Amino acid sequence: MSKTAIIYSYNTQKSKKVAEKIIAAFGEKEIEAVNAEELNKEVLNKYDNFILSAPTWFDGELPNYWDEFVPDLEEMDLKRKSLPFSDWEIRKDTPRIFAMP
Amino acid sequence: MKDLKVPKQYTIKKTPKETLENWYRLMKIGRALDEKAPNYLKQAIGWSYHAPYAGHDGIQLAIGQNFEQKKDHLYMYYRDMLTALAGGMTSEEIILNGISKATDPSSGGRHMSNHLAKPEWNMHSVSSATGNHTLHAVGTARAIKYYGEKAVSISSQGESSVSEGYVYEAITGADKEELPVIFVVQDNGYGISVPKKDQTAQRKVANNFSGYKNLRIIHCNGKDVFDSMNAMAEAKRYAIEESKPVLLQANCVRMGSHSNSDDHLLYRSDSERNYVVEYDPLAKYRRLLLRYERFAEEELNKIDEEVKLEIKASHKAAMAAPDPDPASIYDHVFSDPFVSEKYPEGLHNEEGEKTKFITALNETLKAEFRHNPDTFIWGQDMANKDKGGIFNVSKGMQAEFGEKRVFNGPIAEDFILGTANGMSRYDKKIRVVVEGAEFADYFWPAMEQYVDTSHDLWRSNGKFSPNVTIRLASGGYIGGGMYHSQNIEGSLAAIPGVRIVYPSFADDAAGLLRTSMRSEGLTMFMEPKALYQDPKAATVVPDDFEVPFGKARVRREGSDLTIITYGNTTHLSLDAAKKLAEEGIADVEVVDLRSLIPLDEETILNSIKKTNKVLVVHEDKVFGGFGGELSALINEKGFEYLDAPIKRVGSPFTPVGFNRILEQAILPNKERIYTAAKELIEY
Ligand SMILES: Cc1cc2nc3c(=O)[nH]c(=O)nc-3n(C[C@H](O)[C@H](O)[C@H](O)COP(=O)(O)O)c2cc1C
Ligand SMILES: Cc1ncc(C[n+]2csc(CCOP(=O)(O)OP(=O)(O)O)c2C)c(N)n1
Ligand SMILES: [Mg+2]
Repeated sequence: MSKTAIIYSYNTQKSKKVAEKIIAAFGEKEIEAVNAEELNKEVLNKYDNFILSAPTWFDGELPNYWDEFVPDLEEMDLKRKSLPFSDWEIRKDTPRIFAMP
Repeated sequence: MKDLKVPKQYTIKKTPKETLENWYRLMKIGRALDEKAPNYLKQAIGWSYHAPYAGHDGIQLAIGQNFEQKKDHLYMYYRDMLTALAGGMTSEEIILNGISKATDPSSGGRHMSNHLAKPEWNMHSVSSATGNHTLHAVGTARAIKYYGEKAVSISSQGESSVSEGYVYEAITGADKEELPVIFVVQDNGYGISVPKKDQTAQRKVANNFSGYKNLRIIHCNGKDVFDSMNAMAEAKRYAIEESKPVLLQANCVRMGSHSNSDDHLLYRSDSERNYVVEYDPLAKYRRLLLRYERFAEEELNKIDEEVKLEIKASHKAAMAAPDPDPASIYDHVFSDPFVSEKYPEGLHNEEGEKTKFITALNETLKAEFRHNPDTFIWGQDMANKDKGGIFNVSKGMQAEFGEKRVFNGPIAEDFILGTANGMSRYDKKIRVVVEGAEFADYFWPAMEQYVDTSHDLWRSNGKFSPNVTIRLASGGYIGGGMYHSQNIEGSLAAIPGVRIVYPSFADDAAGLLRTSMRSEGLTMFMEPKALYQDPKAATVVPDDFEVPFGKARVRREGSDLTIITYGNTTHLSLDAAKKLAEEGIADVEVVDLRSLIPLDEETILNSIKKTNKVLVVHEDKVFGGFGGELSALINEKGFEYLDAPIKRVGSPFTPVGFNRILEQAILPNKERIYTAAKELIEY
């Protein structure tokens, strides 16, 4: 059976809320939560399907914990993995909410 | 311009270890200095201005690393400490600048701390006026293109200062001229305490320029070393290969306050202050080095220790360096003038056919352009078929010298002057003449560049001389009203560092223009436009005539009264003197100053010694006019020779009216000079 992970930072507010809703909808047996801040290749290799969740910071950038994982992600064989991405605020040019700088 | 891809040349996995180490070391040195700077202030040693760069590390490393000394040109702003280090400056040099030592390579302690430069490497000296060096960068890029060099001119600034009008002038001009210049905008979201939403409607100010034809806009993460390096390398490649400008906006955070005189606690929340620190680019870079096993922790720790020792040694050396000498303040106010061997007094006895004032200017410009191939001229209405300058002073020049040396500038006076400054930074041999504005009245938009250029030599401690002649059609008597009649020399004379000349005859105009164009430094060349075609101002002009700066000319000898004057009123004074002589009232001496700065005190005082009475005459307003300085000088140094009070004739303290009736009521005329002179004679 293929395994699904939902990956988000445990330190977030909105990402967390959304993730919890998704987990509840799938049922806890179907989907496992993974803390994005502790992400590495090995963790990722354990799953087949992923739901990634990240807020955008600083005008469309990824938070560091995601950004610093990207070099690994780029080299992984993701051909047979499915990756829906839930981006809460990605609006590169006209972000809706702007916190800073 | 469509969105082109930025190739990923640098990545954490593929960049050679040696390079990664070099970057890490530079970033550590930079951060150590950034954090140490405030201590110098606390201990009252110096560095009273410090704008910390922490949070801009990625992009600053990338700018410096992509700058090639002596080939590229770099204009840094006050926050660019890591840029300077990454471009080759040493930690000792940064401290020398910080604590304003005589050996500070940027300015010898003359300019504020955190204004880094090393002109001998083309790291140029810049103003504190935010974004003003964008114009210089454009001017330098114009020279790069003209001389066919494969190099780039880089300007760096914050996002808020893009609001300055001259930054728009600079980017527009670079786009129009297709110049190899990179405008880097380090976006930290604030201009001191002002959030960027108060500057411009777009979140990313670079996108305001998305309609430009040749400009390429690149966005990058200025907090990320690799993203910044890739963006900067691509910007440079593109600028050089395509000969087109790039606007590179780097997303940064300002981890601290704007500077040591600002306190961000007053306007930033706790959470914001926390998350900007979490986004520390240096910490991120270190995490990446470890995570991807490019370095072991011990290796990095070892570098950290080495950096500490280096900073200690640099501190010690800088503290021991000499302070600037107070006696040196007069050094480098003015650049070296051309010295005339044939005409040391700027006088001649040539006979023959007379040349009009305008023709003398035109012929001298052409002669100098033939004499020196590295001369350039631009201004508004400079060249289109038979038109050459708004008054046709430069007629025929484009046809003879081509449109690369003689060309139209936009209706942007600050750009006209600012790019002249920038172009002359490229090479000492270059001489630029600009028609600073179509009328002196329109020169005011260029004042910020004028002020900046006036003290470039002093600020750089003699390392950069802007070799520029500004020509301005000045003064009234043409029925032009308040926007075509102004005399601005009184205001300009208050700014040190510029020679100001104001000839009133064709030969002096030719001689002074030649001297200006052969000298180093900035000369304001005022042309009384009412005299361009006036037969009264026409004279015989020797082909090679030269008039040194600071040499007045006695245009009429006399024994009863001295009139000191220049420009249009030289002729009115001569007319009044003639009338007084004809009427047997007095024998008046008329001294034409020719140069206001430097001033020929000797000729003035010698004349007064002989006549014992003095009338100061100029077209400009009496109140606040240059005559006030002349009177004060005579009072101080010539009081003993005087038998009567110093009198002045000039315009009243009003604008100049358009209706000829109003103009005549305002501008000085022969009668007013005659009356004042007569009163003095009879005193
Ligand atoms: C440091 C920081 C920077 C941010 N930058 C942006 C931004 O540039 N554009 C935007 O739309 N939202 C920005 N946001 C807002 C978040 O993306 C938004 O609130 C998101 O929904 C938060 O999700 P989270 O609770 O899962 O972290 C920023 C938030 C933070 C904390
Ligand atoms: C022409 C001019 N106006 C105002 C100032 C005062 N000033 C100094 S820095 C600054 C803010 C500039 O902000 P930004 O361009 O975003 O650069 P940052 O300091 O944020 O890096 C201002 C207003 C100045 N130096 N020059
Ligand atoms: Mg800013």
